[in-house]
Amino acid sequence: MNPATLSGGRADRSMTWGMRGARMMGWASFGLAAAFVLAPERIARTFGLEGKENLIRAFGAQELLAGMGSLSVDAAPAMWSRAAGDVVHIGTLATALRSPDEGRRRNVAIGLAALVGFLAVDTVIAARLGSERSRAKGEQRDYSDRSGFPKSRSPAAGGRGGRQEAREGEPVPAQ
Amino acid sequence: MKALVWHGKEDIRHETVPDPEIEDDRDAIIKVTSCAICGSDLHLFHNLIPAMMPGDIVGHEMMGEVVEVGRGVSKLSKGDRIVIPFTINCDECDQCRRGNFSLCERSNRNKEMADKLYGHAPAGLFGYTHLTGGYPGGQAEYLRVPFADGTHIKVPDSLTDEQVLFLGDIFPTGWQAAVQCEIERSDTVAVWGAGPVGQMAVRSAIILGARQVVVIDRLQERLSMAAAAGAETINFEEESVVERLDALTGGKGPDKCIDAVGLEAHAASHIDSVMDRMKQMTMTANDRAHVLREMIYVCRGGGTLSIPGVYSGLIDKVPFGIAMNKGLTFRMGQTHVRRWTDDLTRRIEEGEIDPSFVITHSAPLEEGPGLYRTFRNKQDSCVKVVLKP
Ligand SMILES: NC(=O)c1ccc[n+]([C@@H]2O[C@H](COP(=O)([O-])OP(=O)(O)OC[C@H]3O[C@@H](n4cnc5c(N)ncnc54)[C@H](O)[C@@H]3O)[C@@H](O)[C@H]2O)c1
Ligand SMILES: [Zn+2]
Ligand SMILES: [Zn+2]
Repeated sequence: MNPATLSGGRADRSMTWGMRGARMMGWASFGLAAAFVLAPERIARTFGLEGKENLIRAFGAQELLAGMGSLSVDAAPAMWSRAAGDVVHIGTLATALRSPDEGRRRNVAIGLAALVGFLAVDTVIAARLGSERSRAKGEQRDYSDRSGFPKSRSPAAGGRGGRQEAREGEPVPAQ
Repeated sequence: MKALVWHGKEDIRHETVPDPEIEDDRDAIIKVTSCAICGSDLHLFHNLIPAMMPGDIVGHEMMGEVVEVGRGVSKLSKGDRIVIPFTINCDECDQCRRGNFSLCERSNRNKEMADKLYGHAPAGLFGYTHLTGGYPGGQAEYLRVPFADGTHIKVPDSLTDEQVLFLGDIFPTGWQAAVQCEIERSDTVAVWGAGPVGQMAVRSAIILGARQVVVIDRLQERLSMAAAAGAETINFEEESVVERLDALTGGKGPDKCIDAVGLEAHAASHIDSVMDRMKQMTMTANDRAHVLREMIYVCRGGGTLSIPGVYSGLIDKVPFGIAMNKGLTFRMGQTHVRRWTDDLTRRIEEGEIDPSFVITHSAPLEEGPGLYRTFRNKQDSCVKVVLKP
């Protein structure tokens, strides 16, 4: 494979769709984080999670970190941690499925469906990024024949020619 | 013309941009015949160096043929084959006259902003941040060379592009790193990072007479390249750097340490570098200093730390007390490229060294963005990429 397209992207663009996806999810995280941190009461009411406002705020903080991670150079681990976060969110929201209120149960079902979707997307992007960045791609070569010294010289140990060493005090060459 | 253009983190595109024009009497325009991707470009790729703007043309290791000269240029004419140092030099200011070319006092056209941030501004650089002038870079078909009389290296026709291209950056960078160590014949020189700069530093230290050169990295193919020149190798993912260095020096520690890694140091499982990564990720610190800390710790008392690796801002938890008590000398800086290039050109001509050994990938310019990925991901045993516009 052409080394320029090894990571499964176009050669004339450095961004792959794994990177793009992570960036998109990073921004989505910021949106969610804002809602979790700024309006936990409203979210609790919508899904019948009253009393869990602080947990929701904590989720907000975690989303914020996940967002920063997804926008950073180390997006793959951040995407895996997002996926783990999705699982926790699903677990928490599932407890509200027993709500006596039918309207809320419907909200919960919609919320769960969205979270499962997120989980799928996060997992796919995380895996994709992992494989795009994998060092196993391309050839594994050995460069033991590349000394850079055209004339044979005894390795290291002062095998140098008679030329004077460069020293810092050396006058600057006039140009 | 076509050029590689920076659009943000991890976003470099091969695009059509306006051709450069002579803007000042002292400018020249070259048609780029070869250019390379440098480790410093990866810091830009990762958006870790502040003051890049979407639309900036990247690249600072390039050479080519002069196609146009301004009226005030006297040392160049059409058709000349030149390598461009990545530092722009006026050749007239006090710093240039002292040979401190990376500190030229006139070439940074955003001097005011940089003075505020740095106290005193460094020189203008090609294809780098707006703090160093925001000059368009040379990963492009054409390049405008400001202060052209001072900002070029003439090279003999008998040498190929591949042999002389690195005179503009990594070869003098590795060389200056070694020279700053003031190597003595009994010295052990340890080099962190077996990337292109580390490879040049290893060979420079050998030429300058070090008794023993040790190189540290985690990428086997790069270690094999350093070993080819005669260096001992340490894979920091497989063994303890401190223990091996002590063993190799009879418990004394290396006399001279070179940091050819810079602000994106990896670490096997050291807690300090995990913390650095977290901080960099959350933007509470921008540089990862694992290598610096390790050098300060392991270096022999009275030794020298030479730092060609790039740092950009604040670093956290540097054990300065250890450095002070051990009486260590710190040497660092962007390379004063032209201070060394006459001598280095001669060494290439005489066959003492051939820097083209480091090239592992060569491709047309349009494949540049994909090769940024390959080089960053260390895939396909990539060590150094050369692009042909
Ligand atoms: N001072 C200058 O004028 C100048 C000029 C050119 C390049 N540079 C800088 O030099 C540095 C190296 O450039 P390069 O082109 O060789 O880049 P590179 O990214 O190819 O090489 C860096 C190497 O360091 C290794 N590394 C990472 N963490 C390490 C650790 N903890 N210990 C040992 N090795 C480790 C990596 O595996 C890699 O091989 C960069 O910071 C670059 O910006 C400075
Ligand atoms: Zn460089
Ligand atoms: Zn100057």
